[in-house]
Amino acid sequence: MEKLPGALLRFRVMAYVTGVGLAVLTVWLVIGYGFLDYANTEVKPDLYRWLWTAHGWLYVVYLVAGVDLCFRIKLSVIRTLAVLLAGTIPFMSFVADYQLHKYVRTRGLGPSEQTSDSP
Amino acid sequence: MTPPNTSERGSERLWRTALTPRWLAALLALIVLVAAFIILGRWQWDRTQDILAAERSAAAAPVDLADLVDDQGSWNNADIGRRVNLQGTFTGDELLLANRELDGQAGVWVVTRFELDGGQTVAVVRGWLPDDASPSPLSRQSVKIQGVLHPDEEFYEGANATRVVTVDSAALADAWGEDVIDGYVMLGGDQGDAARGVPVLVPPTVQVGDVAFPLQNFFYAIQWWVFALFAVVVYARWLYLDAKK
Repeated sequence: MEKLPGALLRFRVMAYVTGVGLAVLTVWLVIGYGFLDYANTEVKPDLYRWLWTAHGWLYVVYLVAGVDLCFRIKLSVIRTLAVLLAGTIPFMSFVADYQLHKYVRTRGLGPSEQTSDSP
Repeated sequence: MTPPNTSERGSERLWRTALTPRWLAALLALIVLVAAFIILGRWQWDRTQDILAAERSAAAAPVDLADLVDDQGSWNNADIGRRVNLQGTFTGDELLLANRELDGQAGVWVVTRFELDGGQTVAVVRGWLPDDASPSPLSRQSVKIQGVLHPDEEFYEGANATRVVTVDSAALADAWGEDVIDGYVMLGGDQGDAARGVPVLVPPTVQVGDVAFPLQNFFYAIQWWVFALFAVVVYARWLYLDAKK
């Protein structure tokens, strides 16, 4: 499959960026609303709001990268939806990235398989 | 260019695939999903508008001047143009600032010292008078008046060296021998009987600045709609791939 390494890398970057971002923001959310009275909008810092907004746009990019990759490796509809939704659950985007790489490797679609095994 | 036959067969195949039960179910799911995304976007859009409306009405609502001013008589620049309530007494100290036109007519501004019940002094521009008129006297009773908060007029340095020509709290403090709250209040709105008199009210020169736009909710709205568009693209692409098989 043409240009697969690029698609894999793009998805990996977005999976890690949105994954780390979502994890950090989720922890921040729990602390903020649990202990710092963020329900009071006066208290909620602007940085916190802006990071959520940024995360929203990054998730859009994650979707594009994810769909692109899933189309390229002809993943089933259900699995593709699972990959896309993984971006909304903390840490699941890492799992999705791992599973996708495994999927590519075991089916011999990946570049790593070919370069290491081919004479 | 592809021969018409091939493309016709291609679109036929696309339709046949789209109308299979599996793809009709997918279409139904797509419609539900897109409708949900559009509604969610609308919800954030409405929130954007609600927040704007609430911020604007909060900014337009009059506040007590005493609440905006600190002990040094300073207040926040963000409050320029705020409608303010003042409770206190006109002391009778009054200055007429020359060279103030209203609707092309030469005249003066009537600047009166107003003592807030809390003890601080503020300059109140009661309004405009033609050159040959003199302002009506005011009662010394405690009154509640309303106006718009303005910063000091700073036309040029040393403007008030020989006599006061601008509404400048420092110059007025010198003239009245008392600390004066920064800036001045342009009388307007509901001013009560005591302040209603000969001077013609001057329209405030500063307006309330617009409030912060709730960009976050606006972006959320856009993002939901992007998701909706995205769902359509994914459906179309899958259908196309499936039909090509």
